[in-house]
Amino acid sequence: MFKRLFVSMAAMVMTIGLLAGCTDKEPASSDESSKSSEGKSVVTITTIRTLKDDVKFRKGEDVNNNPATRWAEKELGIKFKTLWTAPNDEQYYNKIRLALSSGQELPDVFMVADGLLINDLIRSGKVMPVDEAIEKYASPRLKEIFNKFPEAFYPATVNSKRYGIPRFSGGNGSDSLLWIRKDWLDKLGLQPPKTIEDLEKIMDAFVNKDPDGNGRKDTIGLTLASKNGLATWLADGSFIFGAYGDYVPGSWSKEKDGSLVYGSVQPSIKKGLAKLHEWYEKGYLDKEVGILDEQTAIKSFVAGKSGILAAPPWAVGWPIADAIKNNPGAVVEPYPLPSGPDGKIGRRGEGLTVGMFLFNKNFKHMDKFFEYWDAIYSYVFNDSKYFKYGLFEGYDYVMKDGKPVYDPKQIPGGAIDPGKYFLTTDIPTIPYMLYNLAEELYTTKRQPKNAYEYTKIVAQGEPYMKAATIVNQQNEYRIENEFSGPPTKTMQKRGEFLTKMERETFANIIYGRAPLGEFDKFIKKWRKSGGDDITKEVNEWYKSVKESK
Amino acid sequence: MLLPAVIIVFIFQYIPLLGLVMAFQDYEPWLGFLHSPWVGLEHFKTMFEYEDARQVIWNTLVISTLKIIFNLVVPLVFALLLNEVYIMKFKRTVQTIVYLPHFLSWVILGGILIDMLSPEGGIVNRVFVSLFNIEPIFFLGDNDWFRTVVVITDVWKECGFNTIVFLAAITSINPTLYEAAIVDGANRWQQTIYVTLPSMLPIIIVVGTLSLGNILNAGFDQILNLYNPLVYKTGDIIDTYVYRVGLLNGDFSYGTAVGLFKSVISFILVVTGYRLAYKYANYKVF
Repeated sequence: MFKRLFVSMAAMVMTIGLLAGCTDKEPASSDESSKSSEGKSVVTITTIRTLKDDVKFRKGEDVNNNPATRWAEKELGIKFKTLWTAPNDEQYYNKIRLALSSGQELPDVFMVADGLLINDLIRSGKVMPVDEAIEKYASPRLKEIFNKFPEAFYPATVNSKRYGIPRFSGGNGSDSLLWIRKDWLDKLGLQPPKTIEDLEKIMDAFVNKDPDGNGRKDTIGLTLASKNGLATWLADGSFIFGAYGDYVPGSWSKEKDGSLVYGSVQPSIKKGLAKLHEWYEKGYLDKEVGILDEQTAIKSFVAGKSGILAAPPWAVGWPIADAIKNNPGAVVEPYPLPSGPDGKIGRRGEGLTVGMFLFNKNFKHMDKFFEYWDAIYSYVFNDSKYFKYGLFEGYDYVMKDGKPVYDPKQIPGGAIDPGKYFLTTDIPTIPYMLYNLAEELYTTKRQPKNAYEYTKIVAQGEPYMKAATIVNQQNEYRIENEFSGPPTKTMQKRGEFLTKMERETFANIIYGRAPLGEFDKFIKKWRKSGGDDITKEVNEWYKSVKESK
Repeated sequence: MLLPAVIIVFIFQYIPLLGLVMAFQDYEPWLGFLHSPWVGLEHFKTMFEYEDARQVIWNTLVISTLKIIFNLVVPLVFALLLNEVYIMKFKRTVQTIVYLPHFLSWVILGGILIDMLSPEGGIVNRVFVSLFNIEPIFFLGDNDWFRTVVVITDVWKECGFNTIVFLAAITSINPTLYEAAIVDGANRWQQTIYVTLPSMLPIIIVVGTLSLGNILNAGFDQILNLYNPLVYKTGDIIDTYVYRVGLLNGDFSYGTAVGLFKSVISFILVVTGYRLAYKYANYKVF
């Protein structure tokens, strides 16, 4: 009895210690070196990561034992030890926050995308500045990428010091273009749209001329998701605003004088909202557009009730594949974004990073980390001594008669994407490179030179390549969110209110429940209720990160 | 044998109370509660200064008051009606069916409801349009309808539970009372008014009292899955507000302050409710 009581008391005391955040001891750092079987010295690097359902393992393998970790240990002498995993970002961040506030030691390397958490971690003083390590250990080609995209470091730049290595995005990988039901266009004898005006004619025909031939007026023109803002990653509405000005809702844009301004409160947004209201009235949009998020909005397109969807090239896999499967005879083709009355085109541009890699300040093997980094990047650069035909044989390819075969049916147990095993959670990218390559492959019709080009581009199919080409050709129209820092003080206090007010006002204007003049009132109120302060803080942040090298 | 339970309650219910300190600080995760700067009541002042905070408090009160009333009245009436049913099989089946939605999560129900209530082809609107020949109603995007939908769907989901409680209370009424009433010439209606209802008064008060404690819980899961920018004006409640401010915006201290405010009000209401229950129904837990 007493023993049990003692154990539970001990557990309680430990929990209290954990919650109160007073454990300040430094656990043994994990840099003990050991020898691998081949006598090479092996360095252990601890990490943590999310493990979403799209990461599949072969039987008997897990996050600490898979081809990628075995490869790193054998070839580079790095043994990765994943301390824990979380199934989604939210839980992942919560666990890091908990570890942070309870004074636990951070893992050696880990990736964070949440701006506030990155900032908290940096300000806690437990994260290592990386400037010196980049200088010392990064390979020339990595340095070149880093220098080419200095903004990628902004999310982890504090007091002119860089604390994180960016995990680059595709650059324009999630930028949208128009996907239109080609079979409907053909049936109604219409040409693809060049301008917003053309688009309106097409939508009008899609709504009123019964493109699906079921004798009922049950089709809409454009699938749009507006619940989470009008510029978003799927069923994107940003092109409508881009056609009337240089701003999209929810993004911070750079002015000519170099300062940042908030897109949603720029006068040109009013024109976009007026158009949306008009379209809503004419029945071009889903009646429920105001309550649809990205996942629910696409239902109308998948069900064959909508003819136009603004989505990135990867949408060919989902949801467009579903739309084609559900509607026999459906042909969905990618088209460039239409221009507005003054010839303007614009779209929401994806940010440069999908996360930052942070390092424990006691981490001693930055050289090893950069070696690993460069080794994975070598696959993308096509000069890898490790990944000649693909990543790992038996996972993404098999050898048949001395030639690599990528057909999933020929791979025993089916194909698995081992790129997700890497610390980068996917094969790393260099911004804009993938779609550049796609454009080259699509326009010149040349054969893919390596496994990367084949699996990432050609194997995705012709519509994907065409879409990627279109996105790439419209790169000049990107309207990128230039603010990638942590939420500012006023944002934390008033951001919620301002976002709520913005969404409410925009929705009411689209539905015609509020007159268009409400937009001007919104701007005034936005500025007064903290918007001006936020703009000031954002610009202070921007100045501070730009001054760092 | 009680010890493990006590320990669990202590660890998971009482220790986290320490976190409430955050409401009086400008909490910084890496400093922890012990070192974060102290700001006193500032967050509470903020809460009453901002119109959005006042609005969500009002919304919460309205939605939850309506829910409390309907979650009391509907199951009571339903239990009384069900009590009149003498075919046991039918009674049991109805009871089970009514109780079933209680086990579904709002994530699933939210998706189903959005489909059902859609102004374009949703089953509810199709029925309404064909019956009354009216324009389709945008239930989830209309400030005039949103609260009604929230209350009705909540009652539909939860009334089964209270029905069972009330049915149990009815069965425990002393049958001699009914026999005496019949001897006095009371018909079924009079029996219900003069015997069943008075005998059930204590349990009605208990259920009512317990729900008073939830007056500021207007149902986070439900609202989060149903609301949208079009109905922020009537649908945004304290919990969804705290969620957006505290978790999505990272203002932990302010979020905690609003949450603490909510708990304090609920506590006062429970105590008052308990006093009233003791005074008028002689109901006592301790």
